Amino acid sequence: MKKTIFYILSSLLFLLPALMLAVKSFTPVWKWGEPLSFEWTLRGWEVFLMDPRIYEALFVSILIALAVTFLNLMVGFLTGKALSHSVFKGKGLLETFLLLPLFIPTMAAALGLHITMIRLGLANQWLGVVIVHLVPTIPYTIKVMKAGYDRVGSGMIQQAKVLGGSPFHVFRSVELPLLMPSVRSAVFLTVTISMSQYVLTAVIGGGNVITLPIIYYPFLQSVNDTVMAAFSIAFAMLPVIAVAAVELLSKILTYKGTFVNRGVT
Amino acid sequence: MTYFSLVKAHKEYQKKEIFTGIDFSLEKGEILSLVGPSGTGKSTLLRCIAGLEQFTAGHALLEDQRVEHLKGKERTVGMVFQQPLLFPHLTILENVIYGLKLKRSKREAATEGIKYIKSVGLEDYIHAYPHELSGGQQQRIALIRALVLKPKLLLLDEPFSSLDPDLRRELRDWVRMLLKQEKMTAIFVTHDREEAMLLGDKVAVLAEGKIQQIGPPRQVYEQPSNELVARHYADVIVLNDREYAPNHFFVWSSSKAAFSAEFCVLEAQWLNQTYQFGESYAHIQMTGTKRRHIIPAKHDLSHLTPGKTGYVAVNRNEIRSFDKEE
Repeated sequence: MKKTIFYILSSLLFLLPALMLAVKSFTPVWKWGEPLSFEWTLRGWEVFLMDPRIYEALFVSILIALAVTFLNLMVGFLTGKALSHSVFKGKGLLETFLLLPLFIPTMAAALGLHITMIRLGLANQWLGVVIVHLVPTIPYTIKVMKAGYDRVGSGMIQQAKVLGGSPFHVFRSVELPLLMPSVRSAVFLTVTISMSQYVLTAVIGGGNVITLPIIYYPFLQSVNDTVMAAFSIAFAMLPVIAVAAVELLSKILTYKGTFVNRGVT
Repeated sequence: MTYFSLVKAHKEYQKKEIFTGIDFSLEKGEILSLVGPSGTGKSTLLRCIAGLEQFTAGHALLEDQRVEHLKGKERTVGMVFQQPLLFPHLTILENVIYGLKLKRSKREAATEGIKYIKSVGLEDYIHAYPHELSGGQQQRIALIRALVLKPKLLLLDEPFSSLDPDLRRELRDWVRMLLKQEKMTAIFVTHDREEAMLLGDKVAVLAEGKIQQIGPPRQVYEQPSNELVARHYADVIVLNDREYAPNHFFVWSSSKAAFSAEFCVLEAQWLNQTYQFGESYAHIQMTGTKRRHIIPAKHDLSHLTPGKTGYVAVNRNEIRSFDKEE
């Protein structure tokens, strides 16, 4: 019963709209009052794919998102573990402090950071954009990773240590595999957030760093639904690609069943 | 030459003393049971020896070598925790050889691992995942996972506390057999004194941050050296800070007049009566100390109402005094 409801709701609210979007990207614009017609067109995808900046934008978007994800995970693993497994004074305060970036309006943060970025020579560069994308992502990652470490518990890690694992080996063989669900959530969140940043990218990138949203938003003003649909689909594919990349990396890093280990007894 | 010794071990946590001046030594192959009330730092002591926490002062010596700083593959101290802590994403065999694989080739480790799993009768589960095993089976695997590494010293931190009583009884005999078979030197922490007697060649009572007494189980039981040991390990009623008398010499009576001058009489409240091994026992609470004790009750006293005040008495000849040899 529960399963049926789940399938009905998910197809109604998720699958159907996604399908509609896919269909939309291949059918011409239909105006209210016109007779219903079923024609197919590749114009939407043509406009999208013929835009000379699109491939660069795709590449830059993925590059930035992956760099942001990498930094997020580095910070997330370390901070999450510290917040979850160690006891120190002012822990609660620090936890709140780390969440604060989410409460500052993006615009305020961006304008303030812009001046710093100019001073550091990072304005108008993709590295600057990467750093500024950390502002709306890191608090989430830390939260997710802390929850992950809470779930795994410190006993498991200590047990691995007592059995003779070095810190890195314990990380690869125990922490990483057990934390994969958290890593996946963190990656998905980070990539999606990073890829939807318009204001932060526009301000810090200064029009020099062209990511997908920078092209996407001006298109929104056009009324061509077909092009928009094609665009949206391409946009939605990016996080999937990024998550696949991280998944692959973790497979290589994980001790058990690694490529390195295969065939070696 | 002593095999393992703790020298002036001292631990503070946030300016609070947990234990201090802990000294004891073990011969090779000896098992020490460490008993004491909960919260006295028994687990912390083990965690310090295992190097998971640091002693504030003092150190542990194993074959004249400091052990608590050894890391990774150099470790010579194994530890089994309260929970089995099997890695859920690894099979039983992979769990067992987790540490061994770091030292030897995978094939050698697997052969050794399978041998151990067979020895505990779980060969049907070699490729199963931990969640398919019962709690007792998981704890058995946790134990051989530590033993397969052949540690020079094995620390057991209340390994049966998460199991139900029947399973505990079964498992502890098996553990002692296994430890003796492997000639393992071990420190076993528990708050259950029956368990301590069963497993330990020696018993140490840790209370209020100090080792109060250490010796063969029977000696500690029969000659507690102070009130703390008496309370936590022996079946005696403490009369004052110098004297005590074993429970089994006490007699219950509702009236004081029943006792002659030879007896030392104390006021107590009747609580209940239970039967064990064909004998009947009275549960009483001393009016003075509010402590509960169990003494033999020859007659059927079930007509008494709980909470009724009466007297327990012991012949003055049976009163002993604590050894004040320290």
